[in-house]
Amino acid sequence: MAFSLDADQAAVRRRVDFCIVKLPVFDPSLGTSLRDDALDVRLEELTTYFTVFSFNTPRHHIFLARSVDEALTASDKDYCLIQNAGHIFYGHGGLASDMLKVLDDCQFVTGRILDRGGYFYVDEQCVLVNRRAWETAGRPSFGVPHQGARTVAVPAFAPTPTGGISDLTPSKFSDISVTGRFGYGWNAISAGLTAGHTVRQWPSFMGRWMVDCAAYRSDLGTWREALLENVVAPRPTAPPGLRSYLHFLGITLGSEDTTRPIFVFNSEADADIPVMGVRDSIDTAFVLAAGFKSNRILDRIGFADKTEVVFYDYNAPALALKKMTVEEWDGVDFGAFFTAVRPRLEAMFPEKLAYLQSDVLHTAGAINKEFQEEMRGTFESFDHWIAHWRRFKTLRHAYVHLDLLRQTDDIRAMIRHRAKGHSFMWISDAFNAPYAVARFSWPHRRKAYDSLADALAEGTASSLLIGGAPTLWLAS
Amino acid sequence: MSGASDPKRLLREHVDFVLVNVPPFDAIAGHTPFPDLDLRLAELTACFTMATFDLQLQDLSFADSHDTALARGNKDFCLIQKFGHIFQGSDDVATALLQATDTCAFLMGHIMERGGYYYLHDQCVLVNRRAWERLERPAFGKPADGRKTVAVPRRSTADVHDDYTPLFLDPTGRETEQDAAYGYGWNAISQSLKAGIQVANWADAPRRWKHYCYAYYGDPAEWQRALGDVTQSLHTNDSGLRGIVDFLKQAANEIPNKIVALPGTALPFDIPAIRFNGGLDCLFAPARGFSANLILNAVGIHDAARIVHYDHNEAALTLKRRLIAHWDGEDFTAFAGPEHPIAFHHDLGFESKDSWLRHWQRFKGLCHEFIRLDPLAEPDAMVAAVQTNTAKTVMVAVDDCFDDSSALIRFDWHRRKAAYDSLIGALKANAELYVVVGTPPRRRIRG
Repeated sequence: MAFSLDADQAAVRRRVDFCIVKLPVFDPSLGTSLRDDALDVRLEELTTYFTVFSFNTPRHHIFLARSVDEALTASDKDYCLIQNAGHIFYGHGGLASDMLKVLDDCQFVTGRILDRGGYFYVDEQCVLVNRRAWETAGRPSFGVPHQGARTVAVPAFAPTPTGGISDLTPSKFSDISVTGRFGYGWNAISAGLTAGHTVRQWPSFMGRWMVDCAAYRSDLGTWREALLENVVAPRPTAPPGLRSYLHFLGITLGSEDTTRPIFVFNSEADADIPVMGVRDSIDTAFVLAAGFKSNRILDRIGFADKTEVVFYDYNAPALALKKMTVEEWDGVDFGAFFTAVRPRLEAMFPEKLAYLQSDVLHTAGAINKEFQEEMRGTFESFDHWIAHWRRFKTLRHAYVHLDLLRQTDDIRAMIRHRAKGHSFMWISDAFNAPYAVARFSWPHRRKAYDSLADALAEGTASSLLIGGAPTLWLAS
Repeated sequence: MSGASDPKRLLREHVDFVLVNVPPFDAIAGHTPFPDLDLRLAELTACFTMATFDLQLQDLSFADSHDTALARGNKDFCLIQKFGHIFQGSDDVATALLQATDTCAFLMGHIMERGGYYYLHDQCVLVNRRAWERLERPAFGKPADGRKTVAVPRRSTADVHDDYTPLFLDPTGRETEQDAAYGYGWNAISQSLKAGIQVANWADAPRRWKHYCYAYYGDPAEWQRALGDVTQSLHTNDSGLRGIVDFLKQAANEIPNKIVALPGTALPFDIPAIRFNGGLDCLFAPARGFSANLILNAVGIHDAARIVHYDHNEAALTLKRRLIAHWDGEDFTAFAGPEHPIAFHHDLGFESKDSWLRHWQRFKGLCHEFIRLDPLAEPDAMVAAVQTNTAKTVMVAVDDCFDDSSALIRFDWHRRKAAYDSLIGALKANAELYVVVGTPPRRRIRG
């Protein structure tokens, strides 16, 4: 998985504890919802996964709490970012940079502050708490939904053009008694104001990084069907909240067929290539078309004239590029080769092709530099590489357009047809990539993985999978 | 900062750790660098810095000068160690360094007065970066000769040792033009004094935990040989070298004593997702820990498999023999003693207690062999063990024995790599299919 290593991300991680809760959603008219355990697992996974992805924080640093109060007492960094299962942060450097601004401005509580109840409350989707201010204020309880009478601080605020309200600032008015339905965070809001703090709204610039989850605000069955049974295209009658959520999972992430980028290079390290050797050599290598890791693996494990290389990929243009490369490139100047074949490749497909890493594909020199960057850990010299490539080109190659997660039966058939002797399959992070986690539930991913692993083992003397088994991305 | 409950964490938050390899100043062997020796010294400094302060390699940075070191990071303090400097000890080291940050107004280091202007010995210096910024980022000062205008200090009447290591330099408000030899840090010292800031020597607390390889003050080639394999007998007249080698031996010896018989939990490296249709024939695994069980659980157990338990530690072999002979897999703590409160099936990644017990009973029934050997220190013995256990499919768990602190302290990169390569060579010659699980030897330096 290509996480960006970003100083802003590191700065956020140093200051923030990440916590997930599973709060019943609050509605001032209806009260609180029930939660659905199976759906909650899926929602927690999405929240955890994208928090890991977006802040580059280890999964075990994200913890699960039963309440906001428990989250605040469970750790000790300056801030606590509490997301309700299903809420998503998505982005890289820009998100972290913006989050740092939010941290600097967070006097006490930052959230989506609403005033539709008896008193102001915080939308349970996501809230940020300044833990040091919370401690100084005597560690007040956050406040949970209930109906009754409470004495609370009166803020100053103003309506916004979009129908919301501004930040809440302390006012000159005395506390008042309010009778009505209270939502999440009512007490923290009141305590914060009493302590002289401004209670902040999430600033508008954060909107582009945050995806709300309306799972418990509309038909639960539809949400279960969409998220647990992998029906990623919502029915026309699906509620807007679900359509919006699925749009993110399906379109924004670039996981639709037409938006998948071609990985011209592969930045994965060699660390997951086992130190191993086969005296009679590998018989069949199932490899993805992305970059040149297939060559790195084969050079490390070893291959012989009998080795068959099966390129499989869900990305047809990537396969086409790989076929051109194997059949036409002499191994010397990849920059010149790629630049020359690119128009022909793009003419083969009606859609506009996207490439990764696009910023290094502008000149032949930059492409060659990136090529060397990918290869130098395995190939110690040009002679080493060119000898490998010339042998590699003489092997039998096949190109199969398949999706590991969608076409499990076809994958099994391909393996049964071609696997023999000692075979390996490079699966990269296919079962943990954004496409996989966003679109397919854990049981589906697990089943697809086990299915191909069993198929590979059945027909071979030894079988090896290189890449990650699917992970259930839950908080600790 | 010194009141922290977790001094290492606080230290990491406030201090950039930088390694530099500036030429030695005033060294007997001169300024000519010995690259292989420098690599070894860098590796030792990095290894001990990571172990002592719970750092990862990426937490260290490497710079070609003190000025680069100061400009690169942004934490409140910058600890700049030259290759060959070592901090080693318990949590007290971090506490002592935290105390040093409390008193480091700008510069803290080994203040030297050897005839020219005052300078800081290059082995280790602590810089208060905020003070450095307030002083408009003055150059640190490199060795030079010539006439310079510098601040005149009032030196302490006492010294750390001898008569050229003042405890501190206080500002006097006076300057003088001096034609002299200048060493590292001369300009920073002068700028500090001009700004009215005392320059401090290392206090006793951090000094207790410091070591320095004065390799360039002796015979660098002799140092390189001795540090390449500290387990060898040493015949030298260099008391500094003898002291360092003794220290390294002791540091290495303390590590296995701490982990003997510890059952070990999840491996810090991945087991390849490999399956053998006929089952794995032979598995080599360290007796300490339970790598063998983790691997067999992952790749599948096969009743005809032979398990070769190897370890350089006789106690680990003895415990493993006892476990296989007498332990029912139920209550490890009751069997091995209360110092091992391990819930086995859970910590080892088995799905349930039942699955662990089924595995353990089947594992006990395999063919077991026990060999006392250290694959790193005795590569020939490891090769011989592989040769006498020729099999169709062989896996070798090396854990991190070629790359752990003990390995790094005892052997240089070339020896670690050669021992690993000899194991691979033996496997190639004696197995149809082999897999090595664990960390190969790595160079523990960056840059």
